Amino acid sequence: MKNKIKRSGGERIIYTVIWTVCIIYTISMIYPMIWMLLSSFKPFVDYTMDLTSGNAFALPKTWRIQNYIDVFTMIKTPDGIGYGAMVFNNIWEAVVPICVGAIVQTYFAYVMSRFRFPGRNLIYAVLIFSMTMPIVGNSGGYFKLIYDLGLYDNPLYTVVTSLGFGGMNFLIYYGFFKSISASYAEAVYIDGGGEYNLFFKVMLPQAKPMMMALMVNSFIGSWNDYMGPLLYLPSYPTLSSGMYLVKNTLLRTGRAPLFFAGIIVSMIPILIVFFAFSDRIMENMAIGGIKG
Amino acid sequence: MMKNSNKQLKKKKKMGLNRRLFIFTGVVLPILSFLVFWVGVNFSTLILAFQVPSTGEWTLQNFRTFWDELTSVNGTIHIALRNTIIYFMVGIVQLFINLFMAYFLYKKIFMYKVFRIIFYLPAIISGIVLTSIYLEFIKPQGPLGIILEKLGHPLSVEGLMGSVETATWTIVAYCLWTGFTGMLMIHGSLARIPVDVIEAAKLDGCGPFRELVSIIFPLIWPMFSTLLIFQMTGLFTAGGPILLFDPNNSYQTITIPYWIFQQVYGGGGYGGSGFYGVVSAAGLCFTAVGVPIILLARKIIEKVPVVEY
Repeated sequence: MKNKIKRSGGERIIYTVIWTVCIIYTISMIYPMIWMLLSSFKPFVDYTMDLTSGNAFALPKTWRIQNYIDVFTMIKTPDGIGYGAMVFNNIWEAVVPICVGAIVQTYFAYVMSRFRFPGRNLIYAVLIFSMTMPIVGNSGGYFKLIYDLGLYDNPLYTVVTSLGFGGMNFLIYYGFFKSISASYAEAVYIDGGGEYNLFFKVMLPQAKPMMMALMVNSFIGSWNDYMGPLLYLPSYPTLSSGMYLVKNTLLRTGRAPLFFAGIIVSMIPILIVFFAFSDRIMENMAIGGIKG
Repeated sequence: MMKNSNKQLKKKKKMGLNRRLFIFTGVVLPILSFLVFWVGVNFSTLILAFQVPSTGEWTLQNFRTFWDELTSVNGTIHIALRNTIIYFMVGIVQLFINLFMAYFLYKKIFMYKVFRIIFYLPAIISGIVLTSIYLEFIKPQGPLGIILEKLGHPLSVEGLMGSVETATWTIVAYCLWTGFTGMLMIHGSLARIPVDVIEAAKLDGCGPFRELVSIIFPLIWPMFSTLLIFQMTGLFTAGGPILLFDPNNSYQTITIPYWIFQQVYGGGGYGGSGFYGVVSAAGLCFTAVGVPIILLARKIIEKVPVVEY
């Protein structure tokens, strides 16, 4: 039987106030989404009339499922790229850098945490320094470099830019590998195994749960990223960047329900991924300090 | 016996080579990437700050233009800096709000599992989606407009985003509304605190506020100080999604990051107006001011003793 937590009168008041604040926040987050969902089923004229007559909360008089079908036929960027192409772009622009990045980051973090080699301390110090320094205004240099390397509007951009050490992910992997007992390595060496065997067959499998959580987090971030595709891959718009490009046109021409339907469809994959992995994401949301 | 020791020596040499190759292949790509995309980019920025972009001629004009824009009250950079400082301060305050709220999730407030997911929603829903919902919601004819009208305080015709006085604060409110996702990192750290420490404090009559300030905060200081340092690196890069709210800067919502975006990439879209020189000069000045501040802040933060557990 669970022991109920006994709280004093004052504590109960505090907890009630906080709980009320949380409920208000929950309503503020959920209600607009429900409103958007309901509005996505309205015929265009009905939506506009409801807004102008002060009836924004009205339920759809007619449920226009056609809006969701029209998402795939009527939503096109100014360059004529359709919703289906945006979905395809979103998948490879999200998945490729994550897979490449995960391999590079875990391998690098493992080497940095388990081996002493010339320059190791300097590399670590420089990486931490670079993560905590407020560098401003290097976008011009970055854009120029991307352009000069031929990566502008090139799918290879996603691969090349994911070869870095990974920022915060590096710290998490580093802390994890540092905490693993040396006895695993000794056992592999005794059996005649080398470093590759040790990493790929012993260490990496242990890091799998953490890798999954970080990859899911990175996938969510990549899926929703609109700035990167907008700036560096303009011919390969994703759902986020594509919906940004069509937003003003759709809203100005009174087709807000179609726009809402488009963004709801774009949310479905990410919500599925999140709810499938939510426990893992929540369990792994802790980082160590910046020292060490 | 000599043959055996030779074999062992060869085996050791092979292992040593194997290890060196393993280390090399592990570090080569990230280091190369760092040299190109961090060192190379920042070096290029340094050069661009002293050059006329079109001709490559050396000049200090970029710095003069930056200074004029910064010191003029209606200058774009002046307004951008003012707004950026607002976002930065709000970000610091949000960190402490997140700590406060994370504490109550940690104490398993009723429905805490639901709240955990709700607070994390802005991290999984695209900014395009959230800003679209937010903008439609706060329109004068939208749900917020109707609610305020019924309460006797109708919104003005131009709406919250249609006025210089309210536009920036409307975006700040959006950032606060969507900024609770960091709470979960703090919550994860709280979950690792030994239960017996909390129980001992409870037995000594420790209330929630005392528990948070005197027990929990010192225990999670390494993680919290990390978040604080990362937050402080945003001193001149803090800002909201101006591109999604006011892409043409019609209502003085511009921030330093958005000004940089406009100069490098063109207003509100993609392409590139290519004004790299002034941007690089501004970036250099802001970095020169920001680095000592961050180093000082780090020094102060690291002086706080860490509680081991």
